[in-house]
Amino acid sequence: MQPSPTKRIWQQPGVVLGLIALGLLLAMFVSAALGDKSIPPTTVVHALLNMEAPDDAINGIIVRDIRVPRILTAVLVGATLAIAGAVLQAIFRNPLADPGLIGVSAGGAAGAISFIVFGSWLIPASWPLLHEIGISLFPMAGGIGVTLLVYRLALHEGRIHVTTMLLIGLAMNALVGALIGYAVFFSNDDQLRDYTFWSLGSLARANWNVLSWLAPIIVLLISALLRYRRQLNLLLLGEYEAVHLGLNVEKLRRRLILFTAGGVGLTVALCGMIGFVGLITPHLCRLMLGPDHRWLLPASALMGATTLVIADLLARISIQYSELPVGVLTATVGAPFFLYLIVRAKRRASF
Amino acid sequence: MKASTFKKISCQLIALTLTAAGLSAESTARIVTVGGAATEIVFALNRGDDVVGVDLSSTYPQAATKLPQVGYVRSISAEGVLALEPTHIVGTSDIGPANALNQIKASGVPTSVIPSPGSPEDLYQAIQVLGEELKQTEAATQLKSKIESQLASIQKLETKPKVVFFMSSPGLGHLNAAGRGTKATAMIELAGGENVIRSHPGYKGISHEALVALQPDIILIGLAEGMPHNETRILDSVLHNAAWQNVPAVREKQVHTVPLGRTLSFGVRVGEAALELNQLFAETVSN
Repeated sequence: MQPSPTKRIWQQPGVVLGLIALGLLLAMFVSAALGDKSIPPTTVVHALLNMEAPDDAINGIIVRDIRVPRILTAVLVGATLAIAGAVLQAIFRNPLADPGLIGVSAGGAAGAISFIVFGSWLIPASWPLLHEIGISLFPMAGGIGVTLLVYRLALHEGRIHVTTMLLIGLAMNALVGALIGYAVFFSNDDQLRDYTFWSLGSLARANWNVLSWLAPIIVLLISALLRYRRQLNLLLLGEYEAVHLGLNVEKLRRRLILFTAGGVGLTVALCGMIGFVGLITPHLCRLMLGPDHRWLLPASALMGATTLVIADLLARISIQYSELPVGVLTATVGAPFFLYLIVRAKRRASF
Repeated sequence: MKASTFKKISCQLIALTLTAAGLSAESTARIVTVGGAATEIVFALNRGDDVVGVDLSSTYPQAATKLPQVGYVRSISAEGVLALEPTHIVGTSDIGPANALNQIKASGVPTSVIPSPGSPEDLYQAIQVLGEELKQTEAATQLKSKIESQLASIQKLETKPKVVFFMSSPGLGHLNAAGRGTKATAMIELAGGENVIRSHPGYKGISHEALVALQPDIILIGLAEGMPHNETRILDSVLHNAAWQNVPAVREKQVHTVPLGRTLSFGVRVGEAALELNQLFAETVSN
């Protein structure tokens, strides 16, 4: 790292982190104030503080039971995707690492569609709660399962061969794609349409019930990942250097893969595939803060949350009375950025 | 004019104005309909003027397509629907996602969900339920008997024509055929025909060879309304396919396009659609 004794105040990591956090709060409030139904900001504030007038019941319900759970879900999901992206980029030492790359998203998708197609045979329709749990657990299990398999296959003589791992991830994506193809063939029209909308990525399933179990899990997960910030800095020096500095690289990778696969699988279960948040936001944060994971991890989480809150706001308000799938929006911005990264990396011949 | 007459007339005028105002206050009902069949029934029960929003699958009547859109029936937005300030929401059982439906119900706006009709019986029941809820029981009875009489005038065919129903354009090479348990099969049977594809449920791809083996008398190709289609090209792609020249439907040029929404919605036009197909089937059999 460069010595930089003359850092301006707005270049201080703590200040940058604070500014991103402020941006997140601002985005959350703007998102709570805007929507298909125009609700005066004072009513929004009243509804948020739980003190609206009784004749404004519908506006209160819209703010408290539709917009706020959705915004909080966007914060949690965005933060998970972004921090997972930052961690994966560090452990693979590859700037293009994205949760989709190691098979998490594909495994999650396979789990979800298997449940949509076969769950209706296994579980009677009179048990809706079991369906709710199943549609969340199957993608999670699928994500972790595929990721673990990739990891096992890439483990050679006690070491993970990163290139092999990425290539196996590619093969797993293809295999899971075939599984999804079978399920699509055997599904009926309703199931197919459900799967299509789910795979485009949307936060429309957010409500307070979902949040009550999602929030504790995500908060625990993010704090667990943040504990590894110093080890990730050691890994930046290089695999051998990290081992010589006393770091158990294998164990670190195994744990981090489990945490990120579980977290991303959970978001896939809930919101479908929302791509590129995990790719772009760590890059933006690295531009502002440099590669130090002590700052990069929390900044990525905050930035990912902000990005998804804004993307979901655009998805909600861009078409009057209906909404775009948010995954379509993030991919529209994310895919060109991905191309830019590839072109830049090729020019520098760095991978 | 005598003062008393003037007073009488002005009183009557005021009374009339008040009644008119009362009527307009009465008609501030705002209905959002989600699902093609729900929209068709609400319009057919003379409440079309009160509809303020529909979903994408509501393609009939024409007036409905000009109303604000709340998205596709399976992926509506709760806030989008509530922002139209509805006093009543009518949907078919396809309405979703479940979370959005729950949020809408929680808002306290009266919400009716009718089963998505797949048979005339389902349709009659939906008409009756909505007739009661929208206070149009008389219109509901009339509508029901109109459809009943249309269906009653369908001719019974001695020899049922063998029919294949394609969902997508065969011009693309992919033959997505209606199988067991589909609305297409129900409609073909209602019109006196027989769907020869029994090998699979739902709409699935079949091979080009299957058509030669099944030897259908009639091929129907469903086209979505409101989408651009080159009908001639689609029909030509079937009629001029060298492999199919021995298939009776192709040989006798009994390949027809049908409007999807009208044919398969099992909405208020089910009688007309079935009658039309019935005539087509009768002509084919008699030839």
